[in-house]
Amino acid sequence: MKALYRRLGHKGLISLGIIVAALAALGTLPFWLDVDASYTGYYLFITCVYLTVAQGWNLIAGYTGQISLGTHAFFGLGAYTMAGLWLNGIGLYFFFDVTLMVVAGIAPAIVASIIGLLLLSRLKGDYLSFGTLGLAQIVYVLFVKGGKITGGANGIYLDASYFSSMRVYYWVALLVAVLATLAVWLLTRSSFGLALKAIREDDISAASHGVNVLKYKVLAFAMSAFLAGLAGSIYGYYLFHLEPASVFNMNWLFYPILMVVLGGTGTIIGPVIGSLICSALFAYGDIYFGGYHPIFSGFLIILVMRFMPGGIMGLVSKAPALWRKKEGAVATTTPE
Amino acid sequence: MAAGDPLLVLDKVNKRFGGLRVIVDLDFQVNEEEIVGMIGPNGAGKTTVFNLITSIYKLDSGSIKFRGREIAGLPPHKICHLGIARTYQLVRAFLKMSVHDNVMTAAVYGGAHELSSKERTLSALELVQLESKRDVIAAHLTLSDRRLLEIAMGLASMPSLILLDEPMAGLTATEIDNLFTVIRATKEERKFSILWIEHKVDAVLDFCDRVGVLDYGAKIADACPDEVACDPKVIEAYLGEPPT
Ligand SMILES: Nc1ncnc2c1ncn2[C@@H]1O[C@H](COP(=O)(O)OP(=O)(O)OP(=O)(O)O)[C@@H](O)[C@H]1O
Ligand SMILES: [Mg+2]
Repeated sequence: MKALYRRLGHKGLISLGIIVAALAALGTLPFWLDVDASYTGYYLFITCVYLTVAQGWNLIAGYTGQISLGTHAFFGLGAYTMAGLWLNGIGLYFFFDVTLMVVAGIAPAIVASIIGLLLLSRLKGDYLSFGTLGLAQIVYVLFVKGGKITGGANGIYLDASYFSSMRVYYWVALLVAVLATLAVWLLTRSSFGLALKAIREDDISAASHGVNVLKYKVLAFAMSAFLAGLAGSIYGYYLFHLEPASVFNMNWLFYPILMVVLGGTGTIIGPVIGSLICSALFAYGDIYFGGYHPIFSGFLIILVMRFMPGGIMGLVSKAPALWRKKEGAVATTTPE
Repeated sequence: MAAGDPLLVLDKVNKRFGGLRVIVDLDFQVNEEEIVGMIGPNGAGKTTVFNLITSIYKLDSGSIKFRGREIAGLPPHKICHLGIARTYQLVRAFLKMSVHDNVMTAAVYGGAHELSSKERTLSALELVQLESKRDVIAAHLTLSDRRLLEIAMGLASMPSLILLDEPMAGLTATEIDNLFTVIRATKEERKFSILWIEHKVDAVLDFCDRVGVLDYGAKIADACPDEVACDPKVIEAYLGEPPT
Protein backbone atom coordinates (compact mmCIF):
# COMPACT_ATOMS: atom_id res chain seq x y z
CA MET A 1 0.00 0.00 0.00
CA LYS A 2 2.79 2.40 0.93
CA ALA A 3 4.70 1.60 -2.24
CA LEU A 4 1.51 2.20 -4.24
CA TYR A 5 1.04 5.55 -2.52
CA ARG A 6 4.58 6.58 -3.33
CA ARG A 7 4.08 5.66 -6.98
CA LEU A 8 0.67 7.21 -7.52
CA GLY A 9 0.49 10.01 -4.98
CA HIS A 10 -2.65 11.26 -3.32
CA LYS A 11 -4.65 12.04 -6.48
CA GLY A 12 -3.55 8.89 -8.26
CA LEU A 13 -4.66 6.71 -5.38
CA ILE A 14 -8.10 8.36 -5.30
CA SER A 15 -8.46 7.89 -9.08
CA LEU A 16 -7.42 4.26 -8.77
CA GLY A 17 -9.98 3.76 -5.98
CA ILE A 18 -12.77 5.29 -8.07
CA ILE A 19 -11.84 3.18 -11.11
CA VAL A 20 -11.72 -0.06 -9.09
CA ALA A 21 -15.06 0.73 -7.42
CA ALA A 22 -16.71 1.64 -10.74
CA LEU A 23 -15.40 -1.52 -12.42
CA ALA A 24 -16.54 -3.68 -9.52
CA ALA A 25 -20.01 -2.10 -9.65
CA LEU A 26 -20.26 -2.42 -13.45
CA GLY A 27 -18.83 -5.93 -13.50
CA THR A 28 -21.33 -7.26 -10.95
CA LEU A 29 -24.26 -5.23 -12.29
CA PRO A 30 -26.11 -8.19 -13.90
CA PHE A 31 -26.26 -9.88 -10.46
CA TRP A 32 -28.29 -7.11 -8.87
CA LEU A 33 -30.04 -5.63 -11.89
CA ASP A 34 -31.98 -7.55 -14.51
CA VAL A 35 -30.14 -6.39 -17.65
CA ASP A 36 -32.75 -8.08 -19.88
CA ALA A 37 -35.75 -6.33 -18.38
CA SER A 38 -34.14 -2.96 -17.69
CA TYR A 39 -33.18 -0.53 -20.45
CA THR A 40 -29.98 0.11 -18.48
CA GLY A 41 -28.61 -3.21 -19.73
CA TYR A 42 -28.91 -2.23 -23.38
CA TYR A 43 -27.79 1.32 -22.64
CA LEU A 44 -24.54 0.20 -21.03
CA PHE A 45 -23.98 -2.46 -23.72
CA ILE A 46 -24.27 0.03 -26.57
CA THR A 47 -22.24 2.63 -24.64
CA CYS A 48 -19.39 0.11 -24.35
CA VAL A 49 -19.56 -0.71 -28.08
CA TYR A 50 -19.39 3.02 -28.86
CA LEU A 51 -16.63 3.59 -26.33
CA THR A 52 -14.42 0.95 -27.97
CA VAL A 53 -14.80 2.68 -31.35
CA ALA A 54 -14.37 6.09 -29.70
CA GLN A 55 -11.05 5.15 -28.05
CA GLY A 56 -9.80 3.99 -31.45
CA TRP A 57 -10.72 7.31 -33.03
CA ASN A 58 -9.18 9.06 -30.04
CA LEU A 59 -5.88 7.29 -30.75
CA ILE A 60 -5.63 8.32 -34.40
CA ALA A 61 -7.32 11.73 -34.18
CA GLY A 62 -6.92 12.83 -30.57
CA TYR A 63 -3.36 11.67 -29.96
CA THR A 64 -1.93 11.51 -33.49
CA GLY A 65 -3.87 14.44 -34.99
CA GLN A 66 -5.00 12.59 -38.13
CA ILE A 67 -8.72 13.20 -38.55
CA SER A 68 -9.94 9.97 -40.15
CA LEU A 69 -13.53 9.78 -41.35
CA GLY A 70 -13.49 6.10 -42.28
CA THR A 71 -14.42 4.55 -38.93
CA HIS A 72 -17.78 3.18 -40.05
CA ALA A 73 -16.10 1.18 -42.82
CA PHE A 74 -13.84 -0.56 -40.31
CA PHE A 75 -16.78 -1.16 -37.97
CA GLY A 76 -18.82 -2.76 -40.77
CA LEU A 77 -15.83 -4.76 -42.03
CA GLY A 78 -15.38 -6.15 -38.53
CA ALA A 79 -19.03 -7.18 -38.30
CA TYR A 80 -19.00 -8.79 -41.75
CA THR A 81 -15.68 -10.55 -41.11
CA MET A 82 -17.08 -12.15 -37.97
CA ALA A 83 -20.31 -13.17 -39.74
CA GLY A 84 -18.55 -14.45 -42.85
CA LEU A 85 -16.17 -16.63 -40.84
CA TRP A 86 -19.02 -17.95 -38.69
CA LEU A 87 -21.16 -18.86 -41.70
CA ASN A 88 -18.23 -20.65 -43.28
CA GLY A 89 -17.56 -22.62 -40.16
CA ILE A 90 -14.19 -21.06 -39.38
CA GLY A 91 -13.57 -20.67 -35.66
CA LEU A 92 -14.24 -22.71 -32.57
CA TYR A 93 -17.52 -21.70 -30.96
CA PHE A 94 -18.67 -18.99 -33.39
CA PHE A 95 -20.80 -17.22 -30.77
CA PHE A 96 -18.50 -14.74 -29.01
CA ASP A 97 -15.54 -16.73 -30.23
CA VAL A 98 -12.39 -14.85 -29.22
CA THR A 99 -10.45 -15.89 -32.34
CA LEU A 100 -13.26 -14.71 -34.60
CA MET A 101 -13.43 -11.39 -32.79
CA VAL A 102 -9.69 -10.86 -33.00
CA VAL A 103 -9.69 -11.68 -36.72
CA ALA A 104 -12.65 -9.29 -37.09
CA GLY A 105 -10.30 -6.62 -35.73
CA ILE A 106 -7.28 -7.68 -37.76
CA ALA A 107 -9.07 -7.65 -41.13
CA PRO A 108 -9.99 -3.94 -40.99
CA ALA A 109 -6.56 -3.22 -39.49
CA ILE A 110 -4.95 -4.71 -42.62
CA VAL A 111 -7.27 -2.67 -44.86
CA ALA A 112 -6.39 0.41 -42.79
CA SER A 113 -2.66 -0.26 -43.22
CA ILE A 114 -3.04 -0.40 -46.99
CA ILE A 115 -5.25 2.71 -47.08
CA GLY A 116 -2.85 4.34 -44.63
CA LEU A 117 0.22 3.69 -46.77
CA LEU A 118 -1.61 5.19 -49.75
CA LEU A 119 -3.30 8.16 -48.07
CA LEU A 120 -1.30 9.07 -44.97
CA SER A 121 1.89 9.46 -46.99
CA ARG A 122 0.23 11.90 -49.39
CA LEU A 123 -2.66 13.64 -47.67
CA LYS A 124 -2.92 15.84 -44.62
CA GLY A 125 -5.68 17.72 -42.85
CA ASP A 126 -9.00 18.08 -44.66
CA TYR A 127 -7.74 16.11 -47.67
CA LEU A 128 -6.98 13.13 -45.49
CA SER A 129 -10.43 13.38 -43.90
CA PHE A 130 -12.21 13.46 -47.26
CA GLY A 131 -9.95 10.73 -48.63
CA THR A 132 -10.80 8.33 -45.80
CA LEU A 133 -14.50 9.23 -46.04
CA GLY A 134 -14.49 8.57 -49.78
CA LEU A 135 -12.80 5.18 -49.38
CA ALA A 136 -15.24 4.26 -46.61
CA GLN A 137 -18.18 4.99 -48.92
CA ILE A 138 -16.57 2.83 -51.60
CA VAL A 139 -16.36 -0.07 -49.12
CA TYR A 140 -20.03 0.46 -48.25
CA VAL A 141 -21.07 0.37 -51.90
CA LEU A 142 -18.97 -2.76 -52.51
CA PHE A 143 -20.93 -4.53 -49.78
CA VAL A 144 -24.29 -3.33 -51.11
CA LYS A 145 -23.35 -4.48 -54.63
CA GLY A 146 -21.51 -7.57 -53.44
CA GLY A 147 -24.18 -9.99 -54.71
CA LYS A 148 -23.98 -13.50 -53.27
CA ILE A 149 -20.66 -12.91 -51.52
CA THR A 150 -21.93 -10.19 -49.18
CA GLY A 151 -25.65 -10.80 -49.42
CA GLY A 152 -26.12 -7.43 -51.12
CA ALA A 153 -28.38 -4.82 -49.57
CA ASN A 154 -30.30 -7.50 -47.66
CA GLY A 155 -27.17 -8.59 -45.90
CA ILE A 156 -26.62 -11.92 -44.16
CA TYR A 157 -28.41 -13.81 -41.41
CA LEU A 158 -26.79 -15.57 -38.48
CA ASP A 159 -28.39 -18.19 -36.25
CA ALA A 160 -30.36 -16.05 -33.77
CA SER A 161 -31.25 -19.01 -31.59
CA TYR A 162 -27.92 -18.42 -29.86
CA PHE A 163 -29.41 -15.45 -28.08
CA SER A 164 -30.21 -16.30 -24.49
CA SER A 165 -29.69 -13.17 -22.41
CA MET A 166 -28.28 -9.62 -22.57
CA ARG A 167 -25.91 -10.64 -19.77
CA VAL A 168 -23.23 -12.14 -21.98
CA TYR A 169 -23.46 -9.16 -24.36
CA TYR A 170 -23.10 -6.78 -21.49
CA TRP A 171 -20.06 -8.52 -20.06
CA VAL A 172 -18.25 -8.96 -23.36
CA ALA A 173 -18.83 -5.34 -24.41
CA LEU A 174 -17.76 -4.07 -20.99
CA LEU A 175 -14.59 -6.18 -20.97
CA VAL A 176 -13.64 -5.11 -24.49
CA ALA A 177 -14.30 -1.41 -23.75
CA VAL A 178 -12.22 -1.58 -20.58
CA LEU A 179 -9.38 -3.38 -22.37
CA ALA A 180 -9.54 -0.89 -25.28
CA THR A 181 -9.36 2.05 -22.88
CA LEU A 182 -6.52 0.44 -20.95
CA ALA A 183 -4.63 -0.35 -24.16
CA VAL A 184 -4.93 3.19 -25.50
CA TRP A 185 -3.90 4.57 -22.10
CA LEU A 186 -0.80 2.36 -21.92
CA LEU A 187 0.12 3.07 -25.55
CA THR A 188 -0.12 6.81 -25.14
CA ARG A 189 2.02 6.76 -22.00
CA SER A 190 4.75 4.70 -23.65
CA SER A 191 7.44 5.94 -26.00
CA PHE A 192 5.04 4.98 -28.82
CA GLY A 193 2.74 7.68 -27.45
CA LEU A 194 5.57 10.23 -27.57
CA ALA A 195 5.88 9.64 -31.32
CA LEU A 196 2.11 9.99 -31.84
CA LYS A 197 1.90 13.23 -29.87
CA ALA A 198 4.98 14.62 -31.59
CA ILE A 199 3.36 13.91 -34.98
CA ARG A 200 0.17 15.61 -33.81
CA GLU A 201 2.11 18.69 -32.69
CA ASP A 202 4.34 19.03 -35.75
CA ASP A 203 5.02 16.17 -38.13
CA ILE A 204 7.91 17.85 -39.95
CA SER A 205 9.67 18.60 -36.70
CA ALA A 206 8.95 15.04 -35.51
CA ALA A 207 10.56 13.67 -38.68
CA SER A 208 13.67 15.77 -38.27
CA HIS A 209 13.97 14.49 -34.69
CA GLY A 210 14.09 10.94 -35.97
CA VAL A 211 10.46 9.82 -35.88
CA ASN A 212 9.44 7.66 -38.85
CA VAL A 213 6.23 9.63 -39.28
CA LEU A 214 4.49 7.42 -41.85
CA LYS A 215 5.16 4.26 -39.85
CA TYR A 216 3.62 5.63 -36.66
CA LYS A 217 0.67 7.21 -38.47
CA VAL A 218 -0.10 3.89 -40.17
CA LEU A 219 0.30 1.94 -36.91
CA ALA A 220 -2.08 4.28 -35.05
CA PHE A 221 -4.54 4.12 -37.94
CA ALA A 222 -4.40 0.31 -38.02
CA MET A 223 -4.94 0.10 -34.27
CA SER A 224 -7.93 2.40 -34.42
CA ALA A 225 -9.35 0.23 -37.21
CA PHE A 226 -8.71 -2.85 -35.09
CA LEU A 227 -10.81 -1.44 -32.25
CA ALA A 228 -13.60 -0.39 -34.63
CA GLY A 229 -13.64 -3.89 -36.17
CA LEU A 230 -13.67 -5.55 -32.77
CA ALA A 231 -16.63 -3.41 -31.71
CA GLY A 232 -18.30 -4.20 -35.04
CA SER A 233 -18.04 -7.93 -34.36
CA ILE A 234 -19.76 -7.52 -30.98
CA TYR A 235 -22.55 -5.50 -32.54
CA GLY A 236 -22.83 -8.11 -35.29
CA TYR A 237 -23.42 -10.78 -32.64
CA TYR A 238 -26.20 -8.61 -31.27
CA LEU A 239 -27.87 -7.96 -34.61
CA PHE A 240 -27.75 -11.51 -36.05
CA HIS A 241 -29.00 -9.89 -39.26
CA LEU A 242 -26.21 -7.82 -40.80
CA GLU A 243 -27.04 -5.39 -43.57
CA PRO A 244 -24.81 -2.66 -45.01
CA ALA A 245 -27.25 0.06 -44.00
CA SER A 246 -26.92 -0.83 -40.33
CA VAL A 247 -23.27 -1.82 -39.81
CA PHE A 248 -21.85 0.72 -42.29
CA ASN A 249 -24.17 3.41 -40.94
CA MET A 250 -22.55 6.84 -40.66
CA ASN A 251 -23.63 6.91 -37.02
CA TRP A 252 -20.69 4.59 -36.35
CA LEU A 253 -18.54 7.43 -37.64
CA PHE A 254 -20.17 10.52 -36.15
CA TYR A 255 -21.33 9.34 -32.74
CA PRO A 256 -17.90 8.16 -31.56
CA ILE A 257 -16.42 11.46 -32.79
CA LEU A 258 -19.04 13.39 -30.85
CA MET A 259 -18.29 11.31 -27.75
CA VAL A 260 -14.56 11.98 -27.97
CA VAL A 261 -14.98 15.68 -28.72
CA LEU A 262 -17.56 16.20 -25.99
CA GLY A 263 -15.50 14.35 -23.40
CA GLY A 264 -12.13 15.77 -24.38
CA THR A 265 -10.01 14.90 -27.43
CA GLY A 266 -6.64 13.38 -26.62
CA THR A 267 -7.55 12.48 -23.04
CA ILE A 268 -8.25 8.97 -21.80
CA ILE A 269 -11.23 9.65 -19.51
CA GLY A 270 -12.88 12.11 -21.91
CA PRO A 271 -14.28 9.45 -24.29
CA VAL A 272 -15.61 7.46 -21.31
CA ILE A 273 -17.59 10.44 -20.00
CA GLY A 274 -18.54 11.47 -23.53
CA SER A 275 -19.90 8.06 -24.47
CA LEU A 276 -21.95 7.74 -21.26
CA ILE A 277 -23.53 11.17 -21.84
CA CYS A 278 -24.05 10.83 -25.60
CA SER A 279 -25.61 7.36 -25.45
CA ALA A 280 -28.09 8.67 -22.90
CA LEU A 281 -28.83 11.71 -25.06
CA PHE A 282 -29.36 9.55 -28.14
CA ALA A 283 -31.61 7.16 -26.24
CA TYR A 284 -33.81 10.00 -24.98
CA GLY A 285 -33.55 11.76 -28.32
CA ASP A 286 -34.96 8.64 -29.97
CA ILE A 287 -37.81 8.47 -27.49
CA TYR A 288 -38.79 12.15 -27.56
CA PHE A 289 -37.74 13.31 -31.02
CA GLY A 290 -37.98 10.06 -32.98
CA GLY A 291 -36.57 10.33 -36.49
CA TYR A 292 -35.45 13.91 -35.88
CA HIS A 293 -32.85 13.08 -33.32
CA PRO A 294 -29.86 13.12 -35.73
CA ILE A 295 -30.61 16.85 -36.19
CA PHE A 296 -30.41 17.20 -32.47
CA SER A 297 -27.06 15.32 -32.36
CA GLY A 298 -25.66 17.39 -35.21
CA PHE A 299 -26.63 20.53 -33.35
CA LEU A 300 -24.86 19.21 -30.27
CA ILE A 301 -21.63 18.61 -32.24
CA ILE A 302 -21.67 22.20 -33.48
CA LEU A 303 -22.33 23.59 -30.01
CA VAL A 304 -19.52 21.59 -28.42
CA MET A 305 -16.98 22.49 -31.12
CA ARG A 306 -17.92 26.16 -30.86
CA PHE A 307 -18.08 26.63 -27.11
CA MET A 308 -15.88 23.97 -25.55
CA PRO A 309 -13.26 22.72 -28.02
CA GLY A 310 -11.39 21.04 -25.16
CA GLY A 311 -14.50 19.07 -24.17
CA ILE A 312 -15.48 18.31 -20.60
CA MET A 313 -11.91 17.31 -19.68
CA GLY A 314 -10.74 20.64 -21.10
CA LEU A 315 -13.06 22.44 -18.71
CA VAL A 316 -11.95 20.25 -15.82
CA SER A 317 -8.27 20.94 -16.47
CA LYS A 318 -8.92 24.64 -16.90
CA ALA A 319 -10.66 24.94 -13.54
CA PRO A 320 -7.49 24.77 -11.41
CA ALA A 321 -5.73 27.16 -13.80
CA LEU A 322 -8.51 29.72 -13.38
CA TRP A 323 -8.26 29.24 -9.67
CA ARG A 324 -4.51 29.78 -9.70
CA LYS A 325 -4.86 32.83 -11.91
CA LYS A 326 -6.84 34.40 -9.11
CA GLU A 327 -3.87 33.85 -6.86
CA GLY A 328 -1.58 35.38 -9.46
CA ALA A 329 0.43 32.28 -10.39
CA VAL A 330 1.08 30.88 -13.85
CA ALA A 331 -0.60 27.67 -14.96
CA THR A 332 1.75 24.97 -16.11
CA THR A 333 -0.59 22.12 -16.90
CA THR A 334 -2.79 21.33 -19.87
CA PRO A 335 -4.32 18.00 -20.87
CA GLU A 336 -1.97 15.63 -22.60
CA MET B 1 37.40 10.79 -37.39
CA ALA B 2 39.91 13.51 -36.66
CA ALA B 3 39.14 17.20 -36.27
CA GLY B 4 39.34 18.93 -39.64
CA ASP B 5 38.25 15.99 -41.80
CA PRO B 6 35.36 16.83 -44.13
CA LEU B 7 32.02 15.98 -42.48
CA LEU B 8 29.32 17.55 -44.63
CA VAL B 9 29.98 18.34 -48.28
CA LEU B 10 27.48 20.08 -50.56
CA ASP B 11 28.39 19.87 -54.23
CA LYS B 12 26.71 21.97 -56.96
CA VAL B 13 23.37 21.95 -55.14
CA ASN B 14 20.43 23.56 -56.96
CA LYS B 15 16.90 24.23 -55.81
CA ARG B 16 14.11 26.17 -57.48
CA PHE B 17 10.57 26.97 -56.43
CA GLY B 18 8.56 27.35 -59.62
CA GLY B 19 10.56 29.83 -61.72
CA LEU B 20 12.54 31.12 -58.76
CA ARG B 21 16.10 29.80 -58.41
CA VAL B 22 16.59 29.81 -54.68
CA ILE B 23 19.88 27.89 -54.44
CA VAL B 24 22.32 28.20 -57.30
CA ASP B 25 25.22 25.78 -57.80
CA LEU B 26 26.08 25.84 -54.13
CA ASP B 27 29.31 24.23 -52.92
CA PHE B 28 29.71 24.18 -49.18
CA GLN B 29 31.65 22.23 -46.62
CA VAL B 30 31.67 21.70 -42.87
CA ASN B 31 34.57 19.82 -41.28
CA GLU B 32 34.73 17.74 -38.10
CA GLU B 33 34.50 19.87 -34.95
CA GLU B 34 34.34 23.07 -36.98
CA ILE B 35 31.99 25.98 -36.25
CA VAL B 36 30.82 27.46 -39.53
CA GLY B 37 28.65 30.54 -39.82
CA MET B 38 26.23 31.15 -42.68
CA ILE B 39 25.13 34.72 -43.22
CA GLY B 40 23.31 36.57 -45.95
CA PRO B 41 20.46 39.04 -46.47
CA ASN B 42 16.77 38.12 -45.99
CA GLY B 43 15.59 35.59 -48.53
CA ALA B 44 19.15 34.66 -49.54
CA GLY B 45 18.29 30.96 -49.18
CA LYS B 46 19.94 30.12 -45.85
CA THR B 47 16.99 28.27 -44.33
CA THR B 48 16.46 26.51 -47.64
CA VAL B 49 19.98 25.08 -47.36
CA PHE B 50 19.05 23.58 -43.97
CA ASN B 51 15.83 22.20 -45.40
CA LEU B 52 17.80 20.57 -48.21
CA ILE B 53 20.37 19.05 -45.85
CA THR B 54 17.64 17.63 -43.60
CA SER B 55 15.59 16.44 -46.60
CA ILE B 56 12.56 18.57 -45.75
CA TYR B 57 12.93 19.75 -49.36
CA LYS B 58 14.21 17.62 -52.24
CA LEU B 59 17.08 19.13 -54.18
CA ASP B 60 16.81 19.51 -57.95
CA SER B 61 20.40 18.58 -58.70
CA GLY B 62 23.75 18.24 -57.00
CA SER B 63 24.88 16.10 -54.12
CA ILE B 64 25.00 16.28 -50.34
CA LYS B 65 27.48 13.94 -48.68
CA PHE B 66 27.75 13.28 -44.96
CA ARG B 67 30.87 11.37 -43.90
CA GLY B 68 31.35 10.49 -47.55
CA ARG B 69 27.87 8.99 -47.88
CA GLU B 70 25.26 10.49 -50.20
CA ILE B 71 22.32 11.61 -48.06
CA ALA B 72 20.23 13.55 -50.60
CA GLY B 73 16.92 11.73 -51.01
CA LEU B 74 17.01 9.93 -47.66
CA PRO B 75 13.90 10.51 -45.52
CA PRO B 76 14.34 13.16 -42.77
CA HIS B 77 14.31 10.68 -39.87
CA LYS B 78 17.21 8.70 -41.41
CA ILE B 79 19.24 11.89 -41.67
CA CYS B 80 18.65 12.49 -37.99
CA HIS B 81 19.79 8.93 -37.22
CA LEU B 82 23.02 9.51 -39.16
CA GLY B 83 23.88 12.34 -36.78
CA ILE B 84 22.52 15.62 -38.11
CA ALA B 85 20.33 17.61 -35.72
CA ARG B 86 18.72 20.98 -36.32
CA THR B 87 16.75 23.83 -34.79
CA TYR B 88 14.15 25.91 -36.62
CA GLN B 89 14.07 29.64 -37.24
CA LEU B 90 10.47 29.67 -35.97
CA VAL B 91 10.74 27.27 -33.04
CA ARG B 92 9.06 23.94 -33.77
CA ALA B 93 9.11 22.24 -30.38
CA PHE B 94 6.07 20.11 -29.52
CA LEU B 95 4.09 22.82 -27.79
CA LYS B 96 1.53 20.79 -25.85
CA MET B 97 4.14 18.43 -24.44
CA SER B 98 6.31 18.97 -21.40
CA VAL B 99 9.95 20.03 -21.71
CA HIS B 100 10.98 16.55 -20.59
CA ASP B 101 8.74 14.77 -23.12
CA ASN B 102 10.00 16.99 -25.93
CA VAL B 103 13.60 16.03 -25.25
CA MET B 104 12.67 12.42 -24.48
CA THR B 105 10.98 12.11 -27.89
CA ALA B 106 14.14 13.30 -29.60
CA ALA B 107 16.22 10.94 -27.44
CA VAL B 108 14.04 7.85 -28.00
CA TYR B 109 13.75 8.32 -31.76
CA GLY B 110 17.14 9.90 -32.43
CA GLY B 111 18.80 6.60 -33.29
CA ALA B 112 20.59 3.89 -31.29
CA HIS B 113 23.31 5.02 -28.87
CA GLU B 114 25.42 3.67 -26.03
CA LEU B 115 23.64 5.80 -23.45
CA SER B 116 19.99 5.09 -22.73
CA SER B 117 17.42 7.62 -23.90
CA LYS B 118 16.77 8.57 -20.26
CA GLU B 119 20.43 9.37 -19.69
CA ARG B 120 20.63 11.36 -22.93
CA THR B 121 17.52 13.33 -22.00
CA LEU B 122 18.92 14.22 -18.60
CA SER B 123 22.31 15.20 -19.92
CA ALA B 124 20.79 17.35 -22.70
CA LEU B 125 18.54 19.14 -20.20
CA GLU B 126 21.51 19.73 -17.94
CA LEU B 127 23.64 21.12 -20.76
CA VAL B 128 21.03 23.77 -21.63
CA GLN B 129 20.12 24.31 -17.96
CA LEU B 130 16.46 23.45 -18.28
CA GLU B 131 16.31 20.63 -15.68
CA SER B 132 14.30 22.79 -13.29
CA LYS B 133 11.64 23.34 -15.97
CA ARG B 134 11.35 19.70 -17.05
CA ASP B 135 7.63 19.48 -16.23
CA VAL B 136 6.64 22.78 -17.82
CA ILE B 137 4.53 22.57 -20.99
CA ALA B 138 6.59 23.90 -23.92
CA ALA B 139 3.85 26.39 -24.84
CA HIS B 140 4.42 28.14 -21.51
CA LEU B 141 8.14 28.73 -22.04
CA THR B 142 9.66 32.07 -22.99
CA LEU B 143 11.12 32.37 -26.49
CA SER B 144 14.61 32.09 -25.08
CA ASP B 145 13.78 28.87 -23.20
CA ARG B 146 12.10 27.44 -26.30
CA ARG B 147 15.31 28.01 -28.24
CA LEU B 148 17.25 26.24 -25.48
CA LEU B 149 14.68 23.44 -25.56
CA GLU B 150 15.17 22.96 -29.29
CA ILE B 151 18.91 22.81 -28.77
CA ALA B 152 18.41 20.19 -26.04
CA MET B 153 16.22 18.19 -28.44
CA GLY B 154 19.01 18.35 -30.99
CA LEU B 155 21.62 17.25 -28.44
CA ALA B 156 19.51 14.30 -27.28
CA SER B 157 20.25 12.41 -30.50
CA MET B 158 24.02 12.79 -29.95
CA PRO B 159 24.61 14.49 -33.31
CA SER B 160 28.00 15.03 -34.89
CA LEU B 161 26.62 18.07 -36.72
CA ILE B 162 24.07 20.52 -35.38
CA LEU B 163 22.36 23.08 -37.60
CA LEU B 164 21.24 26.25 -35.80
CA ASP B 165 18.83 28.54 -37.66
CA GLU B 166 19.06 32.04 -36.17
CA PRO B 167 19.03 30.94 -32.54
CA MET B 168 19.60 34.53 -31.36
CA ALA B 169 16.76 36.21 -33.25
CA GLY B 170 14.36 38.07 -30.98
CA LEU B 171 16.36 37.53 -27.78
CA THR B 172 17.49 40.22 -25.32
CA ALA B 173 21.18 40.94 -24.78
CA THR B 174 21.27 38.92 -21.54
CA GLU B 175 19.50 35.99 -23.16
CA ILE B 176 21.96 36.09 -26.05
CA ASP B 177 24.86 36.01 -23.59
CA ASN B 178 23.33 33.05 -21.84
CA LEU B 179 22.76 31.19 -25.11
CA PHE B 180 26.37 31.79 -26.13
CA THR B 181 27.59 30.43 -22.82
CA VAL B 182 25.44 27.34 -23.17
CA ILE B 183 26.52 26.66 -26.75
CA ARG B 184 30.18 27.21 -25.90
CA ALA B 185 30.05 24.87 -22.89
CA THR B 186 28.14 22.23 -24.82
CA LYS B 187 30.52 22.37 -27.74
CA GLU B 188 33.42 22.05 -25.28
CA GLU B 189 31.93 18.84 -23.89
CA ARG B 190 30.51 17.18 -26.99
CA LYS B 191 32.94 18.13 -29.80
CA PHE B 192 30.37 18.26 -32.58
CA SER B 193 30.39 20.57 -35.60
CA ILE B 194 28.05 23.52 -35.88
CA LEU B 195 26.57 25.15 -38.95
CA TRP B 196 25.10 28.39 -37.73
CA ILE B 197 22.77 30.75 -39.59
CA GLU B 198 22.67 34.17 -38.05
CA HIS B 199 21.42 37.61 -38.91
CA LYS B 200 23.43 39.38 -36.24
CA VAL B 201 26.67 39.28 -38.18
CA ASP B 202 28.95 40.45 -35.40
CA ALA B 203 27.79 37.65 -33.12
CA VAL B 204 28.72 35.01 -35.68
CA LEU B 205 31.99 36.61 -36.65
CA ASP B 206 33.27 36.34 -33.09
CA PHE B 207 32.33 32.75 -32.65
CA CYS B 208 33.00 30.94 -35.92
CA ASP B 209 36.07 29.34 -37.44
CA ARG B 210 34.80 30.12 -40.90
CA VAL B 211 31.89 32.03 -42.46
CA GLY B 212 30.03 31.47 -45.72
CA VAL B 213 27.99 34.25 -47.26
CA LEU B 214 24.90 33.60 -49.38
CA ASP B 215 23.29 36.13 -51.68
CA TYR B 216 20.42 35.22 -54.01
CA GLY B 217 21.17 31.57 -53.42
CA ALA B 218 24.80 31.75 -54.50
CA LYS B 219 27.87 31.69 -52.31
CA ILE B 220 29.68 34.99 -52.60
CA ALA B 221 32.31 34.45 -49.92
CA ASP B 222 33.68 31.63 -47.78
CA ALA B 223 36.62 32.42 -45.56
CA CYS B 224 37.74 33.16 -42.02
CA PRO B 225 35.60 35.81 -40.27
CA ASP B 226 38.09 38.69 -40.55
CA GLU B 227 38.47 38.24 -44.29
CA VAL B 228 34.71 38.01 -44.85
CA ALA B 229 34.07 41.16 -42.83
CA CYS B 230 36.11 43.28 -45.20
CA ASP B 231 35.17 41.54 -48.45
CA PRO B 232 33.69 44.22 -50.76
CA LYS B 233 31.17 41.75 -52.28
CA VAL B 234 29.82 40.99 -48.81
CA ILE B 235 29.54 44.62 -47.87
CA GLU B 236 27.69 45.26 -51.12
CA ALA B 237 25.26 42.41 -50.47
CA TYR B 238 24.46 43.80 -47.06
CA LEU B 239 24.36 47.50 -47.92
CA GLY B 240 22.92 47.08 -51.40
CA GLU B 241 25.50 49.29 -53.10
CA PRO B 242 29.16 48.99 -54.01
CA PRO B 243 31.52 50.29 -51.33
CA THR B 244 33.29 53.44 -52.28
N1 LIG C 1 8.48 26.30 -49.68
C1 LIG C 1 8.77 27.37 -50.44
N2 LIG C 1 8.03 27.65 -51.53
C2 LIG C 1 8.30 28.71 -52.29
N3 LIG C 1 9.30 29.57 -52.07
C3 LIG C 1 10.08 29.34 -50.99
C4 LIG C 1 9.85 28.25 -50.12
N4 LIG C 1 10.78 28.27 -49.13
C5 LIG C 1 11.54 29.34 -49.38
N5 LIG C 1 11.13 29.99 -50.50
C6 LIG C 1 11.76 31.19 -51.07
O1 LIG C 1 13.12 30.95 -51.15
C7 LIG C 1 13.85 32.13 -50.87
C8 LIG C 1 14.85 31.83 -49.79
O2 LIG C 1 14.15 31.59 -48.57
P1 LIG C 1 14.89 31.22 -47.24
O3 LIG C 1 13.85 31.03 -46.19
O4 LIG C 1 15.81 30.10 -47.49
O5 LIG C 1 15.72 32.54 -46.93
P2 LIG C 1 16.61 32.89 -45.69
O6 LIG C 1 17.97 33.19 -46.22
O7 LIG C 1 16.49 31.88 -44.66
O8 LIG C 1 15.93 34.26 -45.21
P3 LIG C 1 15.71 34.84 -43.74
O9 LIG C 1 16.98 35.51 -43.37
O10 LIG C 1 14.61 35.82 -43.94
O11 LIG C 1 15.34 33.70 -42.88
C9 LIG C 1 12.84 33.19 -50.52
O12 LIG C 1 12.62 33.98 -51.66
C10 LIG C 1 11.62 32.40 -50.18
O13 LIG C 1 10.45 33.12 -50.48
MG1 LIG D 1 15.75 31.77 -42.76
